Amino acid sequence: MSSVLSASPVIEILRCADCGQLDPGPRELCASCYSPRMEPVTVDGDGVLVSWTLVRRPPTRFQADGPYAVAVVDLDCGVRLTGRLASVPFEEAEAPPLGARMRVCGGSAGIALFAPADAGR
Amino acid sequence: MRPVFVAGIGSSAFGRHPETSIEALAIRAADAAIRESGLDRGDVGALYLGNFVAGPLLGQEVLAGLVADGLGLPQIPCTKVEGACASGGIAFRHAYLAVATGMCDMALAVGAEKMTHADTAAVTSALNCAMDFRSDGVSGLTFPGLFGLAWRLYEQRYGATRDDISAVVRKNKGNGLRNPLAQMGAELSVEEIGNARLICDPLRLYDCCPASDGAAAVLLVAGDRLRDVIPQPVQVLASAQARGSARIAGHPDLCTFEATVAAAQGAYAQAGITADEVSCVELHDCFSIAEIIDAEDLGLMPRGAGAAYAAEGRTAVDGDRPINASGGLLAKGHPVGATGLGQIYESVLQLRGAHPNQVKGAKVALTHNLGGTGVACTVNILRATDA
Repeated sequence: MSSVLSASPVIEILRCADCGQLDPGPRELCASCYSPRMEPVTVDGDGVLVSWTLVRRPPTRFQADGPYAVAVVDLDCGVRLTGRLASVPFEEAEAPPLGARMRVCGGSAGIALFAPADAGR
Repeated sequence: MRPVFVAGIGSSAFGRHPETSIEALAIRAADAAIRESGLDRGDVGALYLGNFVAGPLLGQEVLAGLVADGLGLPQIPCTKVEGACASGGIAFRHAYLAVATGMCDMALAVGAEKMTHADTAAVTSALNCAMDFRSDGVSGLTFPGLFGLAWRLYEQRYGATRDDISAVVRKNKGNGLRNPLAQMGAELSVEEIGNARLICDPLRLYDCCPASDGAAAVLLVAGDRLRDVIPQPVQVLASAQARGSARIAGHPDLCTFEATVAAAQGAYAQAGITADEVSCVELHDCFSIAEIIDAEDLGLMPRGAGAAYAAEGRTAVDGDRPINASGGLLAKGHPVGATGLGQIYESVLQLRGAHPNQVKGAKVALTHNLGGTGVACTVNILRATDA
């Protein structure tokens, strides 16, 4: 697991080629200048945990994943991202506190997985 | 814009109606509204129907035309509107605009939904159609999840406790017990609420509104038709609608919905009143924490005070800020497309002085209907007329 954690903790988002505005995407027009030139860019997957919740009863299309913990993380580049916690905290005490430093540690199907930044080091 | 009045209301009980079709629920509610008004159905000039999930859960669309046909209405424009859980509120606003602008003298707003025949996963999936599936929806976020996220941040920021938030549940479930249209009234202890099974941490069972079947309808008329109206009319002082972001990243904060703030500001300005002049409120408590966030967004109390207001009884029927005397979505139920019109129904009863949980001296009522992740919101303000 630690090898996964150390392997390129980055995340792909969108950047406006005209004004530089970042966006979690997808977005057709820049939210700031309405330019259609939104281009993929790679940013550091480090940030701060804003909140999390444990989805115990998933909708049909996510049934196989459940239960899973959805997390909102503010990346250091200023973009707010909705992803999941890599480790599901069934007890409150197992969860990172709000405000904890987080780092992306993988993901699939467009879902970024986050773990506390000091984990696995 | 000319003055618009509520001439008649109708509603089914909210709850389980396994033997009744969605069309029958809607037609009965709308027929009751027309009959109560004393007006001729041949004069109805437009129908707007709020519905959200009849497509995925029932495989039935074109409900506006089907319901108008069942009611025996003329060949008028009949339109279904959709804005997730705010669909009913949006239908009301369109009917209001049709009369206010002079397009017609009488317009019918109907809301209907049927959900209880489907299993929880299917209902969650259908409701999740209101998620933005290119952004947050990808993560598997659900609506309980959205409010679980908000709760955790809210409790950390403002120091609200589980028991504080349970006060909202106790109040609304208790109010529901005395509302004959309510699905799930109950006398619950703080312990029962706080120990119920977890649904979406920290949300527990009683923090979440049930899935419901139901329909509600409101007949709106121009002032010059009032002489023929039988019930005491109620004036629509304001009907405002605003959009907000569909994505978490687009909201300024997890503990506020900018669509509510904008719609409320619009409605207060249109009505020429402040929040202090509102006698009673029916707001969108899809979850216990939602009532607190909504009440603060509506300017009914300062930020961070919502839980304390509930715990101190200030939002009770006899409090200084009565909220959800009907039992709200938590106890009355949430047939999503009907909810916004159910709120109008309850408010009209308050302003007629005929509500089972009557707020003493109610003169001005406010309704708040929120859709999706705050992507659509309507706020309406109604005023009693002198009998």
